[in-house]
Amino acid sequence: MKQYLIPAALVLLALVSCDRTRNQKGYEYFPDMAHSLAYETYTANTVFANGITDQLPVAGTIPRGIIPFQYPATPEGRLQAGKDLVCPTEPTAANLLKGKELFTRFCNGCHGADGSGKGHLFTSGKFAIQPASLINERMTLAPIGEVYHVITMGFNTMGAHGPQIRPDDRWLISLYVKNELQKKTNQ
Amino acid sequence: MLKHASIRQRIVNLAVPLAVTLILSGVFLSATGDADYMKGKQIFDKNCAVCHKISADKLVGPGLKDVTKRRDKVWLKKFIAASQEMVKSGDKTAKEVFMANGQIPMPDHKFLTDGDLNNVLNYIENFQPEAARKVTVDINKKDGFTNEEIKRGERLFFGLIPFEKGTTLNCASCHATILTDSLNFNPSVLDLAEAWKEQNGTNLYQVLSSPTSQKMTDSHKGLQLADHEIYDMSAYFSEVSKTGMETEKSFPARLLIFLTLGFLMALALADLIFFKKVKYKFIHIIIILGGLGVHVTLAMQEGTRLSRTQDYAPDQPIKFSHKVHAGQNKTDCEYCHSIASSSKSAGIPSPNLCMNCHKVVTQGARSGKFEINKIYRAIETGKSIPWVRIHKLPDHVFFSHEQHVTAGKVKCQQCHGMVENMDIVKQATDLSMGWCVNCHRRTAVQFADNKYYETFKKLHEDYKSGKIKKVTVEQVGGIDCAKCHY
Ligand code: HEC
Ligand code: HEC
Ligand code: HEC
Ligand code: HEC
Ligand code: HEC
Ligand code: HEC
Ligand code: HEC
Repeated sequence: MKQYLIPAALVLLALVSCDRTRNQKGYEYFPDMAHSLAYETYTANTVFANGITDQLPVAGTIPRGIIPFQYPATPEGRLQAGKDLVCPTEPTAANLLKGKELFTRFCNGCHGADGSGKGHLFTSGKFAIQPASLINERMTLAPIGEVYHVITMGFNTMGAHGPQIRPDDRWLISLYVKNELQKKTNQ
Repeated sequence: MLKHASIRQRIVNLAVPLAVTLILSGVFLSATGDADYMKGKQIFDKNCAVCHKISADKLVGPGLKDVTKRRDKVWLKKFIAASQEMVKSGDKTAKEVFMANGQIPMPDHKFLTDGDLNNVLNYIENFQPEAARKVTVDINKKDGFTNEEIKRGERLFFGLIPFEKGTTLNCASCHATILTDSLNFNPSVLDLAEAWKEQNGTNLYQVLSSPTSQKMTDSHKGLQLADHEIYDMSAYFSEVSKTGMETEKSFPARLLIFLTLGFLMALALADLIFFKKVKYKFIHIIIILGGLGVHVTLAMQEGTRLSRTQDYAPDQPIKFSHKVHAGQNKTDCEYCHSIASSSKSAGIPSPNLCMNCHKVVTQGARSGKFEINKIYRAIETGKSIPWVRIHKLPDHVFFSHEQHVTAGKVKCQQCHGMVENMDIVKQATDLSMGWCVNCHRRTAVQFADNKYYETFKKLHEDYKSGKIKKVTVEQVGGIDCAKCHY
C-alpha cells in the first residue's frame, strides 16, 4: 500500500498545480482532434501576404449572388440613387415589423426610436454632433432610394453601414423609415 | 548743481516707473496673449474640433481658415452662439452658409461667455500649426541603444532619478510594468513602447511636452522632460518592446492546500504505523480520509478543466470594454456581431465598424485617447487588430450561431453570460458536451408552424392531441451524436 502512496500523491500533485490567472488558458491533453488543420475564418494564415484567412474578394471580381452597389458616396450619388432605385419588397405588416427590429438594432443609438436624431448616444452627451433627423420635411420628401443609399454608403459623419447589414435588411429598414416612422409623425 | 540734480532726479523719477510699467505691461501683454491663445485652443479643441479644421478643408462644417476675414466679428459671435436662430430669422449670410453645408445645423454654444468667444476667435485668427520642436538628439532612433542608456531610462521611468526640470513622477505608478490580473485602463509600458515603435506611432518628444488629451494633461501634471531624458526613456522603451513584460505569478493556493494536506496525511500515517504518539486512532483516520477527499476533489476539478477554458479572460490588444459599449451605451450585440444571426460564426467587428462611432468619439473617460488611437492606426496602416480568441470548441464539434440565435431564439447571455457587465470578456460557461446536451434536453423548439419540422409526423400527432405539451430539441434529434460530431 505504502509504495503506491507516493506515486499517487505525485500524480495528484501534477494535476492540481495549475492555479491560473485570467490570462492563462489552462492545459490541454491529447488535443489531436481539437485544433483544425484546415484554415478557419479567424486563423492566421501564412499563405497570404497580410497573414489572415478572411480575405476580401479579388479586385475586379464579383462574388456570386451579390450585385455591387454602383453609386458613389457623394451628394450627387445619393440623388441619383434616389431617382434610380426601386424597392424590391412590399411594405407588408411582417416586413415593417422586421424593419422595426432592424432599425432598433442598427439605427436607434444615433437617430433615436422616433427618428428625430435624438438617440441615446447624443442625449447622453457622448456624441458632440447631433445625428440627422429622419422625419423632417427634407427626408419625408426624399425617395426611398436615398435612404438606402445613405445606409449603404454613409453620409457626412455617418459611416457606411453596407458591410454590416445585408441588402435585403437595408431595404426593410428603408421601408420602415418611409412607411412607418415618417407617417407616424405626419399624422 | 542742485537744479541739474533735481532735473535728473525728476527724469529718473519719471522714467523708472514708466520703464517698469512698460516692461511689466510688455511681459503682461504677451503673457495674456499666450494665455488667451491657449484658452482659445482649449475651447476650440473641446467644442469645435470634431466638426471644424482651421484650414481650407471641410470636416462636418466648413474649414475656418480666414473666417475672421470673411465675416464680421459680431456676426460670428452671434452665429457661434445660436446659428439656427439666425437661419430661421432670415439672416442672409447665415442661410447661405447653412445651405452650402448640406443643411446640417451647427449646435448652439450659448454656454460660451463673450470672453470665451473672443478667445476662440482670437485662436482661429492667430492659429499657428504646432511647429515641430527643435530637438538636439536623434529622435528617429528606435534601436541599438547602449546598456547605460537603457538603465538610465529605466531609472527615470521608475522615478528613481529626479528630472532635470524639477518634479519627480514615478511613471510606473500609472504605466504598469508587470502584467497583472487587475483592471488598468492606463497604457502599460509595453503598450507605450509598441505605440512608440510603430512607424506613425507616438512621437515622444511631442507628446511629452504638450499633452494630447485632457486625461493626459490631468495625469501628467505639467511633466517637463529634457530632450536627453526622453532619449533615455526611449532607450528603455526599445528594450521593453524586445523583452516584453513580466507576468505576475498567480498565488498557488490550491497547490499549497494540496501539499499541506499531503504532509498532514503523511504525518498521520507515520504516527499510525510507527510512532504511535497520538492515542486516539480516529484522529488519524479523520485526517487521512478528509485529506484524501480533498485531494480527490481537487484532482477531479482540475481533470475536468483540462482542455476547457472556463474563466479565461485574456487582455486584448485594445482595452475594448463591453460594459461601456453594450452596457452604458446600449449598443445591440448584433450591431457589432452582425453576422451571428446568419452564419456559423458570430464575427468580430473590423476597425471600420468601430469608426462609425469613433470618428466622433475620440476619447474615452478612462483610457483617454491612447486606446482609441490604436483604431486609427489600424485603419491607417491597414493592419487588422489581433484580438485574442476566447471561446473555442474543439475541431470535432460543429456549432452554428445561426441555428441558435435565429432558429432557436436563444439569447446571447444564456451561453456567454452577462457580457454587457464585463470590461474584459470572460468565458462564463465551460462549453462542455454536458452543457450543450442539457440545454437541448430542457429547451423547447418552436414546433407548431415550423416547416422545418414538418416531417416529424408522430410528434405532430402527439402535439395536436395534447399528449405532449412541448417538443424539446432532444426530441427532434438534438442529442444525436452526428448532429454535433461529423
Ligand atoms: C456638430 C458640428 C459642429 C460643431 C461642434 C461646431 N460647428 Fe461650426 N459649423 C458647423 C456646420 C455644419 C456649419 C455650416 C453652417 C450651418 O450649418 O449653419 C458651421 C459653421 C460655422 C461657422 C461659419 C462659417 C462660415 O463660413 O461662415 C463658424 C464661424 C463656426 N461654425 C464656428 C464654430 C465654432 C467656433 C465652434 C466651437 C465653439 C463650432 N463652430 C462648433 C458644424 C459645427
Ligand atoms: C461595439 C461593438 C460590440 C458590441 C456592441 C458587442 N461586442 Fe462583443 N466583441 C466586440 C469585439 C471588438 C470583440 C473582441 C475583443 C474582446 O474579446 O473583447 C468582442 C468579443 C466578444 C466575445 C468573445 C469572443 C471570443 O473571442 O470568444 C463575446 C462572447 C461577445 N463579444 C459577445 C457579445 C455580446 C453577448 C454582446 C451584447 C451584450 C456584445 N458582444 C456586444 C465588439 C462588440
Ligand atoms: C455605437 C457606437 C460605438 C461603436 C460602434 C464603438 N464604440 Fe467605442 N465607444 C463609444 C462610446 C460612446 C464610448 C465612450 C466614451 C466615453 O467614455 O466617454 C466609447 C469608448 C471606447 C473606448 C474607451 C473606453 C474607456 O472607458 O476609456 C475604447 C478603447 C473603444 N471605445 C474602442 C472601440 C472599438 C475597438 C470599437 C470597434 C470594435 C468600438 N469602440 C466601437 C461608442 C462606440
Ligand atoms: C498619474 C498617472 C500617470 C503618470 C504618473 C504618468 N502617466 Fe503617462 N499617461 C497617463 C495616461 C492616463 C495616459 C493616456 C492619456 C491619453 O492618451 O489620453 C498617458 C499617456 C502617456 C503617453 C502618451 C502615449 C501616446 O501615444 O499618446 C506617454 C508617452 C506617457 N504617458 C509617458 C509617461 C512617462 C514617461 C511618465 C513618467 C515621467 C508618465 N507617462 C507618467 C498617466 C500617467
Ligand atoms: C447556444 C449557445 C450560444 C449562443 C446563444 C450564442 N453563442 Fe456565441 N458562441 C457559442 C460557442 C459554443 C462559441 C464557440 C464557437 C466555436 O468555437 O466554434 C461561441 C463563439 C462566439 C464568438 C467568438 C467568435 C466566433 O464568431 O465564433 C462570439 C463573438 C460570439 N460567440 C458572440 C455571440 C453573440 C453576439 C451572440 C448573440 C447574438 C451569441 N454569441 C450567442 C455559444 C453561443
Ligand atoms: C441555451 C440552450 C442551448 C445550448 C447551451 C446549446 N444549444 Fe444547441 N440548440 C438549442 C436550441 C433551442 C436548438 C433548436 C433550434 C431550432 O429550433 O432548430 C438547438 C439546436 C442545435 C443544433 C441543430 C439541431 C438540429 O436538429 O438540427 C445543433 C447542431 C446544436 N444545437 C449544437 C449545439 C452545441 C454543439 C452546443 C454546445 C457547444 C449547443 N448546441 C448548446 C439550444 C442550445
Ligand atoms: C449538442 C451537441 C453534442 C452532441 C449531440 C454530442 N456531443 Fe460529444 N461533444 C460535444 C462537445 C461540445 C464536446 C467538447 C467538450 C469539451 O471540449 O469539453 C464533445 C466531446 C465529445 C467527446 C470527447 C472528446 C475529447 O477530446 O474529450 C466524445 C468522445 C464525444 N463528444 C462523443 C459523443 C457521442 C458518442 C455522442 C452521441 C451519444 C455525442 N458526443 C453527442 C457536443 C456534442
